Amino acid sequence: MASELTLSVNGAKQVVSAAPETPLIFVLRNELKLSGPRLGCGMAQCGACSVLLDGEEIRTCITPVSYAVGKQVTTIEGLPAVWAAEKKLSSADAAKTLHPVQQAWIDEQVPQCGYCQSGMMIAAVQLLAKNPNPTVGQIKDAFTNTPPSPHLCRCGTYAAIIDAVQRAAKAMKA
Amino acid sequence: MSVKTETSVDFPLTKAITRRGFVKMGGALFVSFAVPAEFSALAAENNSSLDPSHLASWLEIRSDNTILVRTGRAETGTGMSGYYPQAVAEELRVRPETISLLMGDTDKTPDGGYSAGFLSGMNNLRKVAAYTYQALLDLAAKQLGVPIFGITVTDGIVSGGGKSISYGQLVAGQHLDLKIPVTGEFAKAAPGKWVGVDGLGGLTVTGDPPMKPLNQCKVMGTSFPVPGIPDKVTGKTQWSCDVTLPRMLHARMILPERLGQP
Repeated sequence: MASELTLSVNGAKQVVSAAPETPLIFVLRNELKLSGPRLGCGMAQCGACSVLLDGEEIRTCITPVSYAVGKQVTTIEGLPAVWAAEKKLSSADAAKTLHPVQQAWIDEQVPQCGYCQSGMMIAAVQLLAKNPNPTVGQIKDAFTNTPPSPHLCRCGTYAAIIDAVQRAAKAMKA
Repeated sequence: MSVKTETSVDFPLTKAITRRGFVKMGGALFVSFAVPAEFSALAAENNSSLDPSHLASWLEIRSDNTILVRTGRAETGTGMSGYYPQAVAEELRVRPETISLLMGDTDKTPDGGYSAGFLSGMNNLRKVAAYTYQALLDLAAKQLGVPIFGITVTDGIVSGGGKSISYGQLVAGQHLDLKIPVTGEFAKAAPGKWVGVDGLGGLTVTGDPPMKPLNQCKVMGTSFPVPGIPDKVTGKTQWSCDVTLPRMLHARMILPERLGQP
């Protein structure tokens, strides 16, 4: 049975009509037209669908939409606003500033096909929030050993991801 | 990033350029392939929408100084949307940022064959650009009234005998056709073959146009950002699973039960 649920997504209140057990990813993608979270494996084993829920990475392919009610959902589309709020940027500056993680992903030319990279950037944002100066070992550990599964990239962009996380860490401290 | 992956001034490759469309463009040099006789027959036999006799071009130099490259290959993440413009820019002596690349649209690009962008695709385009460069030099020699050896080209500006002219000015008001020799075949159904399709190799440019020696390259071998990456990191890129059509409720890919089945 569909019910009306109120979500907070990228800082905006959204009222959606969905069965409470609907996986969050379908609400984000189909109802709210956010194509950043990507459906990969559909069983929390790849990380492509990751978003932040109150700052913690979750896999939206197995998370019921009802679980997100009352919490803050952040997709990669919302990352620039998160950074702008943190740095108290003027709206003019905010409009042309990406989150340092996204900018580092461009500067290091990380994405190949890019399908998994939304989840990779979400994982990076969470890591840098907890550890602003991670070592290569800690970066590998965060992307590999954080439950429920490693973040997978079939293009094999892992080395570029490590470089980009380090670049973002530097930029966020500047 | 100023690199574009397609241009707004465009028309389907399979349709002849209309007079109005041509006038709007103000002149251009169209570089297409010389069609071996067997290609036309093959296309008719396949009832293909790609009638090679109407293929407009691989490369267009337009009077507004824009350069359009058409390739049947698609960017799947290997970076060819970056290195194709690099290769063409190198041979044409222009900046890669000035090149618009139209990729993979089967109605607007030549048959690209299978997915092997670097090995065959870039070599093809580089040769196409090298042939085109020679044609532009000929054109410039005539218009400037100087011998070819007295001509230099920097960033698309041709200089010789104390005069300078842009590529766009060279082609202005003209409809120039350059035919490039090719070999190869178009894809066709082949139920007996293991993938059910034959002719996936696409077209290969033949001949040996003068190419820039590698030690003189200024663009290739340098970093050049892949155009689609900013959209990928901001969630704007549309994958096939993001496409919705009017009144579409649900869509999924239906695969044949076995190879070669229509």
